Amino acid sequence: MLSFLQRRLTLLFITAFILTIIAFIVDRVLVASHNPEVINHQNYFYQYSNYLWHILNGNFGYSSLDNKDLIKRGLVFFASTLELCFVALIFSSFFAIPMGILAGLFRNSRLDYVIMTIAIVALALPVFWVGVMAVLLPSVWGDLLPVDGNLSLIYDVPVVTGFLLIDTLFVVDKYDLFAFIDRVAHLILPALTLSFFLITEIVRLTRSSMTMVMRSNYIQAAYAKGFSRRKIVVAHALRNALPPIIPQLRLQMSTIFSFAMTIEIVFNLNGIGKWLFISLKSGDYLVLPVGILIISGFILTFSIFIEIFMVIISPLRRSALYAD
Amino acid sequence: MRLICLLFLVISLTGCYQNKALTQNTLIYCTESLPSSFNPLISHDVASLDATTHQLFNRLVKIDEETNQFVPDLAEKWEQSEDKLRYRFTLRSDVHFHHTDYFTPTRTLNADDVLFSLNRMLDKNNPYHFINNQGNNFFYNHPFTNLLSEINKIDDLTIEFVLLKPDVTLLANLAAHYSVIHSKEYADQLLAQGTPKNIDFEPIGTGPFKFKQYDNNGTIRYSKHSLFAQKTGNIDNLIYFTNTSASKRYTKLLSGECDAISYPAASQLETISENENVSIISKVSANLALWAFNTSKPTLQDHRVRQAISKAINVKTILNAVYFQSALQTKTLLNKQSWALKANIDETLFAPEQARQTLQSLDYDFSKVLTILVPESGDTFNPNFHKTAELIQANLAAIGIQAQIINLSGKALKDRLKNGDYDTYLTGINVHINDPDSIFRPLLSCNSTPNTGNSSHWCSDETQSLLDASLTEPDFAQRIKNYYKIQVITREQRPYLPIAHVLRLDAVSNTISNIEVNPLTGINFQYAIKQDLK
Amino acid sequence: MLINNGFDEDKVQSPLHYIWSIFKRKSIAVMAMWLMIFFIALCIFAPWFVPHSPLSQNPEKMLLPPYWIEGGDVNHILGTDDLGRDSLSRLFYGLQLTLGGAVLITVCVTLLGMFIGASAALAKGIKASILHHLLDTLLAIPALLSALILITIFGPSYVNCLIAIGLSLLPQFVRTSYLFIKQELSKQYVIALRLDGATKLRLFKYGILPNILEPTVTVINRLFTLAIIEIATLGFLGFGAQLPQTELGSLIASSMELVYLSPWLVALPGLAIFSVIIIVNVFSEGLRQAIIEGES
Repeated sequence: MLSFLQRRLTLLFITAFILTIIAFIVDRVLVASHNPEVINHQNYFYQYSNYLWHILNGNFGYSSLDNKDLIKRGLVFFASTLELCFVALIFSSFFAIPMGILAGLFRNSRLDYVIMTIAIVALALPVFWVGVMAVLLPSVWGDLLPVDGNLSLIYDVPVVTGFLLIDTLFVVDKYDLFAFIDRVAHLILPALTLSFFLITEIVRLTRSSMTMVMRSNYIQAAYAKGFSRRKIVVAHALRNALPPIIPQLRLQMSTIFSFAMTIEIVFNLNGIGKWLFISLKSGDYLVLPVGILIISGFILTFSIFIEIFMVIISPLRRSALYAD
Repeated sequence: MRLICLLFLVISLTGCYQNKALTQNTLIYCTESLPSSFNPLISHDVASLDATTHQLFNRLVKIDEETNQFVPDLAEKWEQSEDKLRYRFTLRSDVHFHHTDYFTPTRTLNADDVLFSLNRMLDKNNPYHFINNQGNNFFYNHPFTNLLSEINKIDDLTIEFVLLKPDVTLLANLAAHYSVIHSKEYADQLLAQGTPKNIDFEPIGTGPFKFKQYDNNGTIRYSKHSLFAQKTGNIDNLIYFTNTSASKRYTKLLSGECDAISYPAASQLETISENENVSIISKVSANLALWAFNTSKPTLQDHRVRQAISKAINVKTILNAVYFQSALQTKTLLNKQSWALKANIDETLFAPEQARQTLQSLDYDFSKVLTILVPESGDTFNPNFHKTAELIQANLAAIGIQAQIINLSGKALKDRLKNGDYDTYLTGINVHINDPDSIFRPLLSCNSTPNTGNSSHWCSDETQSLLDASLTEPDFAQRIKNYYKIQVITREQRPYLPIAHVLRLDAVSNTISNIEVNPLTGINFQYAIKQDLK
Repeated sequence: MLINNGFDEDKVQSPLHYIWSIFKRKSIAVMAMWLMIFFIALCIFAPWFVPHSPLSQNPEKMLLPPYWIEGGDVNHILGTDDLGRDSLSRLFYGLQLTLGGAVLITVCVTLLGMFIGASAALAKGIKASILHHLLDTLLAIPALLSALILITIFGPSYVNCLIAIGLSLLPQFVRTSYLFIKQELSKQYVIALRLDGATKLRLFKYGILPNILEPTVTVINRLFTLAIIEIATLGFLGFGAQLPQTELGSLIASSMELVYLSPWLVALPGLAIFSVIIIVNVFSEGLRQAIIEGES
């Protein structure tokens, strides 16, 4: 176990190292292309170690617009992005996993076709277009759901964790649960839009995983023993079909963030996507390397955690403990 | 089944997601852009004025919305000396400055505050003169030039303005947005702390609202100034929110997340006016959209060429396609309300065939591509620059001139303007005081650069001397004559093609009443009343 | 795998023919294929048959609705935009940039990705290890972010946007094709082929490629879908096609403020993107099924 952990952490270390190199290159190129007078003529190795030293000390640079610490603000915005992704993930799992299981169980049946059609339709709806069309909703529905922003402006919620769902709970004595409910209402449409993509992915993964499991020998054996189909599915198939979805979904994380960032821009949510977009539009290019470090750093770290977690919960994967 | 459950959940949530009790004395105003600072003295853009002039500050005198007369604001009364050279203002004794997290006033308003506020602009030795003010030539070319000889403090509550010569514009200047009164005590405190720059970003004033918070997401929060002595409405919390998309602003107005919005999309005016829960406040402003010809370019040096190209442009279509009903077509730089407008102008504007023939007779080089420089995002004087440019491009193509649209923003645009690498520039000008000089000087003065308004690189001794003479001219009739002359010159020489005078538009929910909008100084929420929703 | 169809008893059908014969029986997928061909033809030949130039303005006919709605005009089937330009023509030209760009990206990324993936899978030792880690890191950068980086450095333009999207989708493709090939390499028939003395190229062409056909179709379909979405997204955000180029995403962006006045200006380009993605997905799903059936 220890050597496994050590191997994973080494991997994390190496990828993080490559990531800082990429961020460094982006940083230099951006400075060179937009601000040629401050080009640094020292050798690159020296510059890079300097850059790395600053990052390790938590100094990621300052905004050229208002001189505020970039990393602090970036992290607060990223928390909001994570919140969106998390809510969308829960939301879509709620629908997609049962759909995927059904599609996998009744492969090539009419039900399967219906579910797969829903999945394809959900994928094909361009995220930004849905956002733009959502603007029309209030004139159709009245003020049913907010289509814009993180939180109604009447609530003045101080930033504690950056996760608004949690922060709004800190101000319960001031606003009761209204701020929280307001936050939930503001999350519904964007999370729904983001889950379109997630539903497609999860249905697809669950379906193929379920199919694989149902074809496997131990299920056949269970059938042979005369267990009911219901019992086989619940007791054997599900337990083995669901865990493999997680590492597969992890590979889609960067795409999910891509979509989430677009949604933030369209729905005007204060997340890292909107932050990068607005900053770039107003000429603050140094947010880009910081954005890379935050988003990709998170994805890399999280991936490794998932891998360790999978080894702990899934016996099949324990072979990884002893490999090479 | 799950779907139905979820639908119920959604509806039960949304049924109460807006807490009406909390919104009762809160007014949310959704604007199109962020203020560049919180001091109308240094920022003259519409967003900054809206966020500051009437909300945070007061001036000595103001203009009554109904009667158009000067009425006292911070001054209790004023009197004029016999020779009309001295104005003596008596200040009110009960004016309190804002009490905030970052400043606690120890005294009420006195003459020192007035002196400090005006001297920041007038006096180069004022420690605040150069603060936050790099590259802004307004301070050196300000409206009080050639007007005042000195300002004297008579006693704590009396202040005297001494004029160089009799001039009626003093009151107009004192009622303008840049004459707002700051706290000298606060300024001294900031100097002692070594953070004088904060004066423009964490403002202290005497207005009906005090500044509470500004976060970079575009939300500004104000709360009621409890010691404000004048009449007010019932708004306790004022919130500004910036959203650049006009449709989103309107959506938020419909959903009740905004109580008022600035500049609803021109294309949506008709839809909005059909909505009986929303009313539109529309004010004629002097803000002008125009198309500038770079007169320093060899091809455009001949005024007949500029004249001919102007004739090829169908301004009326631009009005229909870009502005819908949000602007008035114009043939002049001054608007109809201006006292200096030379009205009897009769000329055909759109005559493409004539334009082509003129250009041919002038041996104009039709093979040369004309560049149209365009700011990337819309402004208060043009909802969609690029669309306007596309229309102009099509008009030019019709007479055989190829045009190229160059879309730039921010620093790139400023640099391009600075080095003059453009044939024409689609722009406009915001006017802050109802004085012809405030529009002619930025556009036509030799001292003005493309970045401060003179994008046509216009410089002629005649206009310059007329401009300077008018400023100091004691005889009003003569001033009008001078401005008439300038108008004749600009019409003949055509450094600019005026397109439209833009309306100042706001859409307001019907639960809100008594909002005043002044196209020069900004929106005023002092008297605003929000009705109970129950 | 081998089938005698009764007429040419001694002629062996090639796998591709066989897959095609199965595919032909799936009517929806075949329809999707014809629609796809139709759309691509539409893009290529748009300049010859669109009723109006996409840039020609008409001040008399601004913001016309589609012709079946009251006030519409038969000359402008899908109505006109705020400058009186024909929506249908603009849609075709927009499709040209969006769909054409996506096809281009898909072809380039597939060829390049296959090559890198295959050479990585066949390589050993330190080379493979470096590539592996580099890919891991690149994969962790969202496509939108890497597109933003490249566009910030090189400036926004349609071509740069294509390059940026291509580069950001490449690592994903390399990674998956690498995994497939690696998996195949450990199978016994490959070892048998190797023992026969097959060259790397031959091994890849006859041994591996036919066997990874099914997952590859899925991945290419995904690549194409993402490419369309990314092109339109960047166009929408103003980082892709620049005015007056008409790209479906930028068409939506420029009509955004008109959404109340003429919602079809926003709805139609969106529906175009939507239907292209649906058609391609249905087609590829049919193809995939045919391959699976052919193999079993």
